[in-house]
Amino acid sequence: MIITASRLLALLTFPGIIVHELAHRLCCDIFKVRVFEVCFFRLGDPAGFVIHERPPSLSVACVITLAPLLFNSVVSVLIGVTVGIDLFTLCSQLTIQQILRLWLALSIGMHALPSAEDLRALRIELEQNEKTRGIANVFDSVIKPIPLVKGLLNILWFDLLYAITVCLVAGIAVVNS
Amino acid sequence: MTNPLTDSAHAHHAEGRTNSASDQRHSLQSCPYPTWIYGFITILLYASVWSLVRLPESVEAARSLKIAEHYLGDGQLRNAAQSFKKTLSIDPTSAKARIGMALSLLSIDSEQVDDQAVDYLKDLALSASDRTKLRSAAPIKYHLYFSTRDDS
Repeated sequence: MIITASRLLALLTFPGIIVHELAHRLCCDIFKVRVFEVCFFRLGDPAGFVIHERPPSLSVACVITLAPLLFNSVVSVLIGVTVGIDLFTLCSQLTIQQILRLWLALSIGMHALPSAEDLRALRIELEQNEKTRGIANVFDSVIKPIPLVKGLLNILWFDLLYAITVCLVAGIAVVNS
Repeated sequence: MTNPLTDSAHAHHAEGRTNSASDQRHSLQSCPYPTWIYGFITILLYASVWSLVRLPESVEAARSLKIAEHYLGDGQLRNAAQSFKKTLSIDPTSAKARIGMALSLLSIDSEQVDDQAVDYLKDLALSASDRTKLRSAAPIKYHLYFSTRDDS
């Protein structure tokens, strides 16, 4: 098996992938959408997936698709807010336990954003609904440049930036509240 | 990644699982969670609870630090030292609090506290700007401690 940069990153941030798929799965359970197969993590492309039946409505499909954005962000904040304050505000020396928590929080936060496959699945839903077929065409213009945009964002480490920002903003908000 | 089976052929092709997924499609219940995921969720819960339990202490330390920095900016050195002390009582490793404490003590015109101030800086990697600030506040006999590369 060839270890590419994206696979290495997936391996380093595997808790985030598990939480991302767990968010999809839990959402399916909440809305009673049957799940046929789940892979929480693997060293492949994609690194994880959830195969489920067609959601009963478009709004449910949207919620299932976007669930990791909320779920991963919240879990990342819960785990990372204290370490974030210690590291960024107090500039404390971190213990090994704190470093592990920081890694856990950042890797979970890094997988909060919906993947290109998530958006593609949502696009299929939009296309199959007569009322939203028009939106699907607009959606195409969003999805098509995703590989390019994703490549650019990967160069900027956007996922990591998002995870750090989420923990940092939460920390600042809590301290200033 | 989520993959609804709206178009089974497409979904199966994408995942390369023509048989297994289509067989399961007609089952009434979702596939079960693997056992290890409960262990993983327990770790997440433990990490979250630990973080929330520690949060009030960290917030208090951060607030004391902010107050101390405010006092230091206003030139209220003894109040600043008190607040830095409070931060350090919660988190003795806070670099900002240790530097701030040293700066406050060195700025107080008293030889008694100067040695204490230097103690707070032990084993701390100081930036050039910190060194400059400390040097300007410290008595001449301590200037060697805070020399920068430009001085050599």
